[in-house]
Amino acid sequence: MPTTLRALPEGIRRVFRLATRRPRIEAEVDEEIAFHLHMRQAELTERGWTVDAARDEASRRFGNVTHWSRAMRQIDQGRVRQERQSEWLADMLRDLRYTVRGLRRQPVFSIGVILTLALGIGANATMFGIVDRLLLRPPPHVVDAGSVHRLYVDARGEDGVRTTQRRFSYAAFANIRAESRSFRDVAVWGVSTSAMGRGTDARQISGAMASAGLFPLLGVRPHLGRFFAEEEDQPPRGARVAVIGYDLWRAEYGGDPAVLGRTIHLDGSDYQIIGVAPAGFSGPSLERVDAWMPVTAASPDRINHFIGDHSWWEVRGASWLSLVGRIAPGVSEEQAEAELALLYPRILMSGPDGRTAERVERQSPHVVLGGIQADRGPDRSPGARVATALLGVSALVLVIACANLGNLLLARAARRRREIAVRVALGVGRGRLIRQLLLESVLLALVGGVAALLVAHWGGNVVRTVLLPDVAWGETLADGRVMLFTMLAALVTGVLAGLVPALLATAPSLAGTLKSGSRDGGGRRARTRTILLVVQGALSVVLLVGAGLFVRSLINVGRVELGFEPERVQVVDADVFGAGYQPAQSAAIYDQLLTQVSSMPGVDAAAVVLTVPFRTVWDIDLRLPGRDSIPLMPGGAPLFNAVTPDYFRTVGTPFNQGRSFTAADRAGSEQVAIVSQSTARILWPAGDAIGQCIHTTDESDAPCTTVIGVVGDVQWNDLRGEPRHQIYVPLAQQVTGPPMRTLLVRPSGDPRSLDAALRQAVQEVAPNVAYTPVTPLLDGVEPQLRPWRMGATMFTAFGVLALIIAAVGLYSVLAYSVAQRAHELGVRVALGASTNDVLRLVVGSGLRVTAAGVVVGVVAALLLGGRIEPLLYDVGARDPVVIGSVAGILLLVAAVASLLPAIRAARVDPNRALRSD
Amino acid sequence: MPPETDLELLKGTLDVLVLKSLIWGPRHGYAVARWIEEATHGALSIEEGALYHALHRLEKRGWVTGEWGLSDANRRAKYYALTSAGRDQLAAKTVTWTRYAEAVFAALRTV
Repeated sequence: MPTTLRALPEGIRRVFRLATRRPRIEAEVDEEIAFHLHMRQAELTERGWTVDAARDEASRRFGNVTHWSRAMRQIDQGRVRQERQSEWLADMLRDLRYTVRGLRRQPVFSIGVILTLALGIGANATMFGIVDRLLLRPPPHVVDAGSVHRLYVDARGEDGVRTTQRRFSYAAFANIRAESRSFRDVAVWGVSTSAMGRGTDARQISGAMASAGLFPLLGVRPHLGRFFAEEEDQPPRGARVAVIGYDLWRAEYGGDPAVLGRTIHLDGSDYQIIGVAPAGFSGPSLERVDAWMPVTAASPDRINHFIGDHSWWEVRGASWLSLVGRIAPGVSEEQAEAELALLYPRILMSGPDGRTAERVERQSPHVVLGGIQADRGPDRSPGARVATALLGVSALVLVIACANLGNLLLARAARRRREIAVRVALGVGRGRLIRQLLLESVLLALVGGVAALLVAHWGGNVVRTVLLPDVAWGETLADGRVMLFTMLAALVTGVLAGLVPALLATAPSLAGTLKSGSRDGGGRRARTRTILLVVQGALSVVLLVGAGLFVRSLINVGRVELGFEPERVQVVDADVFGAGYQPAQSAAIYDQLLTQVSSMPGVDAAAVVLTVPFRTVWDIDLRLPGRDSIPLMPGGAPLFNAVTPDYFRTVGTPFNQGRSFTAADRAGSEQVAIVSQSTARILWPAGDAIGQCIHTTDESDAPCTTVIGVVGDVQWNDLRGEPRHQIYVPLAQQVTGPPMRTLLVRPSGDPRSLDAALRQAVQEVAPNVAYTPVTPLLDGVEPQLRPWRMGATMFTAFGVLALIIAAVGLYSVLAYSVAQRAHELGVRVALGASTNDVLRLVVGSGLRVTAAGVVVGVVAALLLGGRIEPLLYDVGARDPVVIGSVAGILLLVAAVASLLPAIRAARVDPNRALRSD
Repeated sequence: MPPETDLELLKGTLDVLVLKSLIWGPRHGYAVARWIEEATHGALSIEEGALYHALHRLEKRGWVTGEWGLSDANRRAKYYALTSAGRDQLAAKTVTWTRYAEAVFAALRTV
């Protein structure tokens, strides 16, 4: 047995990572071989070999040294790697067990943290899911979405204001398709409501028209059957074939594959079902579609009556289709826009209703390309803008939760100072300790992340259905992207929240700690905790100010003087043209309908109108005799409506001056008009509007239309809309505008009580009409309220969440510091401090930190205000009422949160406090 | 170097011999080489490099451990020792080898 003197124990070598270094392995192998050769040589010389011969023989017997040493080194490196991995894994498992044990020993702490994180991360996951669908991801089933673009027209209106339009005429589409070289293909589509079935069995679905090329352009394949063929989609009249949506197929036809070839009755015509779209397919937008019809089959029914004698596929003046294109390979968006900048004006100038070069020049229309994602591009919805802002807001909530966790961990780490110091003294490396502490926060965050998925699932459903109901969300639960986002957010949260406390807790200042015990908090730690509290307070202020601003906006929006009473009125929309009636018949039908409905029991008033507020718009060129031009209002061209006598009573628009229309205002009698209050004030500042002469058509020799009355202003199309001139004429005298008709009914009791009777009345008067939607006039207003409602709801939810988290944070830090200062407080009490003194001391320190947070937060809110100002309604981002109340609320909550620890502090028994430790 | 198929057989042989050489306690590579020489009466003519290769291979598999110590001549040397896994392995290999050798021997004896 050789005398083995162990130079370096394996364990120590591993701790210092010596063996892991490559040079070390090489040196050992070399040394081992050298030893062998030396021994062999010595043996041989002893047996009488000469030195040289012995060396040669030893080397011969060993073989190729370079070869063998390389082979040995390779093996050793593999071995060391293996050892390191298994060692790391073992350490990790040990730490994990240790951490889990520690967390289970403090269930209140653990559950509190996990809940906080679940809410914080869940809020983010919820908003991410929404923004992802609206802004990041292309609609389902769109292949290679990067090269698919929506086309918009940016043009100057007659009033000189540039606006973005998203609708095109069929002629524009056909010409761009034929002439543009920049696109592999372009296609059109349009989604609206359709009636499915006939008579009383009919119901309303979401119908879409699409050009045959849309489906191959997007790259979608039918679930069953086929999409339209080009030859089925040719003007003047395409084939009556339909592709039904997946959901409709399941619901109506029980998912029966034999549905192909069957007939579906849509908007008064029979269509043959030729295909079923794949699940979740909603075309290039996110509007749900139940049935697709060829654009050339559905368009004539919808627009023929608007365009007079022109062929619907040739007019440029009527725009009802959205346009989408797949850009050709190698063509940039700029090149495509440049090509269209030349092409599009030329298209507008040709055709049966081609515009003059001067008019096109004046409008200077530019085609712009936008992303295919639902809310990218020039006309993003307010909902998407609010959702994006809310994603930022939810991130703030997470930062607060993160700061809170950091604070709690700091307090915990401080409590464990002695334990940590002992472990360091025992030789546990700082890296290992940091890893252990980080493991704790990451573990908490990951568990929180899993819980956050539940929050996101639930919260996402609420937001989707309540706040953004118009979007076809498609699959929701099994959303891998949201899941990935959530777990990543959890991981980052865990590392961020744990890192600073871990670094501070393991800072090398041990000797002192071991001696002084755990009482002294340490200056750096105390400062970090204070900073975290201030940050939490400040962010809470920012969020609550945001919440306050949105709530005020919502209140203001709700209080907007619409100038009519949408909650009292039902809209009866009998689609007489779709049912095949001619304009003359339509007028008679509506006359009869009005007579019948007006005498119905329970009807206060009823009227037939050309346009309906918040649904349809018709504008005109208003001219006054003797004036070259009239002063326009900022909202745009004058609004025009033709109404029956009872209109103003029906919708509740108040009369200011003059008289209303009567049955005597017929075709052929003196032409009369009623104008809005603002129109009267601007056009005739002297207040003598009654009796003035206006012209509502372009014909220069037309007789005067005499103003006979003035009514209140109406917010016609937009809650935030700028005022516009408003002109009403009797329906019987209507000489301009399309023959569209809608019946408005004001029931005396419950607005919805007459719906069935109204539908029945339409059936009697116009039996061919497939389905008559009867909807509250409010339905038009409601979607415009949604962004504010969403902003107010979510901001408030997030703000309150932030406030709770921050309050818990403040409470826990104060409670901890009271426990830490028990000794000092004991001394104070022993020296005669009263209960009140102690209370004031503790609550005061809580309020001081909070006040600092409020100051920082208010400054931040003032700075950030500009960013959400465009989303607000009639309230400045620096609203003093909101900021003042938020500051008050925060201080109040802080006082309450401080009170509990303060009371505990006041109960400190000086005897025990002084004796312990 | 022997051809491939012989090499595999040789590796197995070498492994079992190296393990065997360590059952009396830790030895450095040279001592292992000497023991094999003597035990096989020099019949196993292999390059000694292959022997070290085997030692490192066995160390990686956890059948032996290697530690540095001082030799009789007061020189640093790497000593190999059997682990309990190595002991099990040796026992298993010994059985297989004996059976194998007996089978071959019996086969060759038949006329």
